[in-house]
Amino acid sequence: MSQSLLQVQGLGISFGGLKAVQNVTLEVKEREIVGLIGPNGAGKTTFFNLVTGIYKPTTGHVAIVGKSTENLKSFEITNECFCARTFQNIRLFRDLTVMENVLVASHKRVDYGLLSVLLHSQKFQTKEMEIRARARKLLSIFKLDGKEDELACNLPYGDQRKLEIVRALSTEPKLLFLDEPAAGMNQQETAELLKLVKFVRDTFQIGILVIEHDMKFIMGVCERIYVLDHGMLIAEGNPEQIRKNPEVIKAYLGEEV
Amino acid sequence: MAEFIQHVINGISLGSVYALIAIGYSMVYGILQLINFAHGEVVMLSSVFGFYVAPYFLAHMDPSIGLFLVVLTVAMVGCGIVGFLIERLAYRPLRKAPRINCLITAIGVSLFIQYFTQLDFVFGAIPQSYPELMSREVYFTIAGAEVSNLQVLVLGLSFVLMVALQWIVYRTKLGKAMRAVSENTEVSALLGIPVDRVISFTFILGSVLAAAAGTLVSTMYPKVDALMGTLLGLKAFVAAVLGGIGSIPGAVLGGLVMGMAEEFTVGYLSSSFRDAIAFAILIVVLLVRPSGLLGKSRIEKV
Ligand SMILES: Nc1ncnc2c1ncn2[C@@H]1O[C@H](COP(=O)(O)OP(=O)(O)OP(=O)(O)O)[C@@H](O)[C@H]1O
Ligand SMILES: [Mg+2]
Repeated sequence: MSQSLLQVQGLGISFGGLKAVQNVTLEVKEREIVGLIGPNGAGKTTFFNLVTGIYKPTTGHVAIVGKSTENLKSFEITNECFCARTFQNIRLFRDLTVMENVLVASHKRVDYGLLSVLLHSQKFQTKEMEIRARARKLLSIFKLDGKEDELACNLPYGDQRKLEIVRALSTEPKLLFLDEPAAGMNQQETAELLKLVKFVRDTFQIGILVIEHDMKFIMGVCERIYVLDHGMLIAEGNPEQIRKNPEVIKAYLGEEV
Repeated sequence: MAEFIQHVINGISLGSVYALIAIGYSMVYGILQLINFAHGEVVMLSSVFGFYVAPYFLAHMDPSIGLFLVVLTVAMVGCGIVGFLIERLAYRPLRKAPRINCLITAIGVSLFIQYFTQLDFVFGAIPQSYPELMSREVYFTIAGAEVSNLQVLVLGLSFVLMVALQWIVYRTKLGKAMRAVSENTEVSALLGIPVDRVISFTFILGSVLAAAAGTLVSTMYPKVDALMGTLLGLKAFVAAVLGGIGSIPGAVLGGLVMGMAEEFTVGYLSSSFRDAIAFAILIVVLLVRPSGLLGKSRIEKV
């Protein structure tokens, strides 16, 4: 039985007169990799911002792992709905090391009190070691091991993108949102990322919703794709259907002309 | 030569006190981009707490380092609670408000505490003398300069507290969270960090250091005055700006430079410039290097 991880009903938001997202209904099921595509300014990032609680929707309803996000703050959505995201423009903690960027995102797992930290208790030590081991494992999956102590801002661009994904995974999400993870990567890096995303899904058994302009990436990684244009969903289907959909072709060509 | 060394020693101990206060300004600024003008008042309240509890303990023990530590602990707890309440009641409701609202509120909180403390049934408007927690004596002399036991205490305690702070900020989960939140609140929240709790913790931490500063100041210059926080706070604020506001090592460096500058001004120019020097420094820093000695002049990407 495949349960629904993300359920969005009639979601919408306006900025002044601009309806950036209107009446979007969408679903991500367990262990599914779903794409969200559309021309520039279609409202994709805004959609992520709505779902993760940065913006309050003007209409509609969001449920993640069956839980309504309505009255939850961002950090509660992350912790209680088990979701995490990356950002279109990289937003790492630049002054923290690679390792610290990952560790800081495992905040909710670290439930020991200040007292046991001060006393360096057994429980604290075991837990700390466990969390570090997990962080190291995640870093090595993304081939970032050996760079633990570098400042995040000193990493090459592609590594920064990967570190953002590692950091998001460190919160132990059931649902991962990726906002243009391949942006700025070359073809080889993108191909590698494609494999990594699939590997992550298989290893951690999570659902992934990914925004990306690179069609080769999207078609290669997604099982289903939603297409957004001017804030509205204009198509949904598997990569083959989307590729052939006249509405989609029009939306993309219309942009180019 | 002896005189010069004496000034250096005095300057460092005064500077350590400024540093302890400046750290609080810097940490809060780092996280909220707010200048917490009420921070000086927390220093003052520390002395007021000491003023009230010391006689009780003096009835049971003689002036000693032990007594000092007991009174210090009470002041730290008291100020920690005050710091927590200031943030919770005054600043948190304004989290989404424009920055100017918060700034005006900070000034309001500062004035409120000052005048509340001056009420007769609280502390009163008349300065009182602070109980003697430790008798002052010359601890040792180097090159003819005298170092008092109080100065050793100031240096020792400041050092211990700063090391502890460094440890908290760089080695604990809360410290990591503090640094993350001060870099980016929104991203921190999205990674599941309870931002409000981290902010509370920052205020408590800053206030505990301010409590140490207040107790040290009143032990060195045994006076309690409801308005004493204003000038101390302002000078420490200048120290924080000088060091680069938002940077903890900057606050320490700024504090030490401020203490030295003040001591040398008094020693070699005139004591009437004692307070003016702070503001002269502020003006020069703002003109020459607004980001401060250790501050980063980061270009904001939009
Ligand atoms: N906070 C805001 N205030 C006003 N308008 C906004 C805000 N956020 C987004 N918009 C507008 O909403 C529209 C959708 O923007 P969004 O960033 O979601 O697009 P996108 O699909 O992610 O585009 P891209 O592919 O370029 O990243 C744009 O016209 C944008 O200007
Ligand atoms: Mg976008």
